[in-house]
Amino acid sequence: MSLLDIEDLSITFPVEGGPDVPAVEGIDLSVEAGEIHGLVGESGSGKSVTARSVMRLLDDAEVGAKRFDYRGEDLYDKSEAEMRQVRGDEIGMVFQDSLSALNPVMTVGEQIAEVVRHHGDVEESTGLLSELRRKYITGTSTSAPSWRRAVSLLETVGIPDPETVATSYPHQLSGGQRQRVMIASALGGDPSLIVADEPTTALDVTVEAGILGELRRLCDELDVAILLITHDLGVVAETCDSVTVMYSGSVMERGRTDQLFENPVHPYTKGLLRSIPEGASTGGELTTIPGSAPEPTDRPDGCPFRDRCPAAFDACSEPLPEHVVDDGHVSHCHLYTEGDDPGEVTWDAPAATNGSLDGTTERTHTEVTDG
Amino acid sequence: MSTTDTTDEQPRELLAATNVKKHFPLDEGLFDRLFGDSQVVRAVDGVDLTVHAGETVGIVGESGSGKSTLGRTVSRLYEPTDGSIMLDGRHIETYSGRELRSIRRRVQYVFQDPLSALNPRKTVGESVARPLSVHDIASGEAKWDRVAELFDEVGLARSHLDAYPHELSGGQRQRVGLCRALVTEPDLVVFDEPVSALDVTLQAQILNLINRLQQEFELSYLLISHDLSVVRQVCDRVAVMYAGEIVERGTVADIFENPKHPYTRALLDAIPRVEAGERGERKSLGGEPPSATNPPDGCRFHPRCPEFIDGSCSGRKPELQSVDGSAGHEAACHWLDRSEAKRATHTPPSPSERDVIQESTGD
Amino acid sequence: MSTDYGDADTFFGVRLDRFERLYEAVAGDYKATFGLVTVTLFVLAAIFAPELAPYDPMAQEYAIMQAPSLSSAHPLGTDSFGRDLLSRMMYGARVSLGVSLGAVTIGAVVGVSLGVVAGYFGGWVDDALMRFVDVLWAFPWLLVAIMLVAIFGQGVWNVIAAIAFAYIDDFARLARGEVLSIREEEFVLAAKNIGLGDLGIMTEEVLPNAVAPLIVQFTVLIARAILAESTLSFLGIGVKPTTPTWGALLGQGRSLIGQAWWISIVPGVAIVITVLGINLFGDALRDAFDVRGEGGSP
Repeated sequence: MSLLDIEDLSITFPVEGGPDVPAVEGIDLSVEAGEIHGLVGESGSGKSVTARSVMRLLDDAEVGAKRFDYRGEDLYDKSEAEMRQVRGDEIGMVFQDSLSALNPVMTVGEQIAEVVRHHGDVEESTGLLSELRRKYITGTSTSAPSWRRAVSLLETVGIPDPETVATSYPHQLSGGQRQRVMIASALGGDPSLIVADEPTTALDVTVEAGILGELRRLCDELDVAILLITHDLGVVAETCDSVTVMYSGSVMERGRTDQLFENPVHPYTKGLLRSIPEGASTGGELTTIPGSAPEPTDRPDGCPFRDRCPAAFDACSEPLPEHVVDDGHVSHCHLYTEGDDPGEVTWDAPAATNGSLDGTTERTHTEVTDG
Repeated sequence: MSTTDTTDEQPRELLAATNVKKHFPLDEGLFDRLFGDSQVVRAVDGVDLTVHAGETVGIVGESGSGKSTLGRTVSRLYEPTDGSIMLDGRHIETYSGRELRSIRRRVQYVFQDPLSALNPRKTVGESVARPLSVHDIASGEAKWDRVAELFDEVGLARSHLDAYPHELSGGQRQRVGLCRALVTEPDLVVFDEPVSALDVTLQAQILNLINRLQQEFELSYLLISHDLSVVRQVCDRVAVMYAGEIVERGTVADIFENPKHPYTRALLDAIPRVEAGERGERKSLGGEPPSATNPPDGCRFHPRCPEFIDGSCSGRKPELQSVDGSAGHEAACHWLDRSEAKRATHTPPSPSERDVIQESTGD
Repeated sequence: MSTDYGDADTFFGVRLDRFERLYEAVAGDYKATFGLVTVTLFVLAAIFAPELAPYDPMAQEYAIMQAPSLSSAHPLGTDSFGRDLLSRMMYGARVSLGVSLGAVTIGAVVGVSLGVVAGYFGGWVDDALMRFVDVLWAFPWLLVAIMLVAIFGQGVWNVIAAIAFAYIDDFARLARGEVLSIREEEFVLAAKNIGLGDLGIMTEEVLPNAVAPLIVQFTVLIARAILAESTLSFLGIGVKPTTPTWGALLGQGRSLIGQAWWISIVPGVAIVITVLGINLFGDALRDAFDVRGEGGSP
């Protein structure tokens, strides 16, 4: 049984005096215990909304699903009080912008200790008065179990000198350190699943590698499953065990990371992989997917990608099919029928390329005429 | 791209900046100013930079390395604290008023986030057309015809002229940003992270467009990016910045195939790989970029350097020196000649030990 | 080729489609329509008071002192001197609306100019201008009013000057605060990059983005200005004591609230409706300027 098992999830934002915005339309998503599952897509694909629906953090949206099971229990059958226990105890969340997600006037140790007291296994009063006392007068005692746990969590996520960092305020830390603090805080209640929404997007590449390595290590050592939301296939390739590719509110393809990168089946996945500058040689034209993603209110019938897809044909206006490519590897593309790979999909080069793929020499000094 | 040294005629130096410094006062409180107790952030601390006509020069570095400040200083959006900036052989660092306005027409800047770089209360057509009336280039119908032509050029519909920035998508907005930069027919365009706010499929579109426009309008580019793969894609020469200084520069081939500075190597190692399913061992660089108010002595990279050798690293500031006798490729490291084998087996001292190591143990 | 794209006509530098937006904002919103209609009616009543008023506002009828309302001859009743309240309200609107609109407009123009310049340039300009504004703020405006009256004698313009003086700092501080955050936006740097001068950046780029809170401030201060004018009248340093103003009518009716409630209630209600109307219209005005208002991001 999967840890998180969602079937036919739809999320719609009602808009007053306008058409409702269908952010997500009938997707499946499952995360196994102890794995890192990547949810990858461009902006507007609905990946962040999906992540938030797992925490039931979407107040103004209509969320409907055939099944929304966490450990076999439907999250959307739970009361708000039960859900509060699930958040933190069972599912932790890491946000992209650590500076706005952390309270600027509390030390980070205090913030983690608070999570530990509410969701972790320490025996400390969490009554309103004692929390208020800690917040405004005494602070958490450095000998309290929750504080000691906070410090050890900071150490777990690879922060050197955790005692000092615990007494720092968020703005005193660097972006990388703050993101580690967020992860430590998400770990405060010993969750089985962490939802990480673009955790490294705001960071430098040199720091990103460290954070992703940390997530990988936590997953392996603490047996935490991670749902990693990202727009970056490089991050997926490096970190994830399995991956779901989303486009404009629908799932295009999902499978194990190696399956998807070695044998991408869906034209969108192929295009995405080839758009990455590193994949192309130095200079010259990059392969692009022409056009841009449709507005959620303005999607074509059937496959949302068909207006940009070079291989689109009549059947594409039909509802998305599901084709099992391989064990665990599923594609939602009409082109692909079992055992029949559509072969290479080629994009026309952009209209005005002047056909000079090797135009780098020209380009370099075309304009050097004087001297 | 080893084309830079093939022609006999040296390409014209469009932009030549020498020893450019930009320091920001840290505290503008009245008392600090009265008592002269103000510290400065040394965002750019003595940088030389040349852009030849028709070429694309890239500046890479982490956030806080001063690369954007450098771009804004050489295009005179910021007042340089020190140094000289020459545009086409004329010193522009002291220009102001009317003179400055004349170079605004020739040097244009494209911002990272087109949404924040466009006035939300102007239609994008107004924003693009405004430079034409500021510089008395065109007015009335001629002005709008010109704007509309540019819109066609970058792949925007004419109906977008009347749209407000928030009504467009990220890719469309960045195309508007390009239009605004090109409308005055500049010589030099400075791109500040032109695609990092965009989705990957749009990144490719915009990068291709940027390349095409360069050929069509005969432009020189200065491209600032944290993304080495973007730089590799579009640049001819690259400068690597760290803590307000250039630590290495050379052609794209020099930097990517023969990196000499440990920081450049660390940056290259940190690029995520998308090779099929391989969980690439990406090396992360420990530590944090140094404080820009109080940078470390010696080599500014020494507290984080994975190849730290001895007291000369922490004691003496390395100058840019030519690599293997090639004129274009320079790096600022005391240990350029160290062999590959020696580097591989070297274990650097821990960060806390580094400060203790004295200069005397060095050369 | 005729160009119908982007080339908007302007009216005194304001794009005409702004007025179209304003029209749409007002026509599509009954609250804004109500606001605009009431304010317009009050202003018209004030302008055409000599033609419209049924009686001379100074004419007394001793027989019907403090007559209750609901008589066909005096629909709003008469005051303690037997003067027709409706006529006095109409003439009073001339002073009350004129003074409040005039004073707040002058305060806004001066205050916003100071605030925008201070916030945009920062540094010593900011220090100097804002210390000046602090001095204005610390100076009791009643004292200023008394000084003006002592020097120039009583008159509408002195009242306007004294009240405008009191509101300069409100506008200056608000405008400066807005500008401080707006000048850090990249589009300001972008405007510099295309060669726009400081004045152009301030008027084209910065001010339009600061206008929404300023409009709200404007409507709030209108209400305070009407009451401030009555305070001055009450102290005898306002316009000539015999001139009817809403504030003065309110003050006179106060002592008779037990015997003749309508004398104070009528001007009170008029002030409330005016303030409400200006507020509602101000909201529509703000929406018309806020191009991002519609279709926010999901």
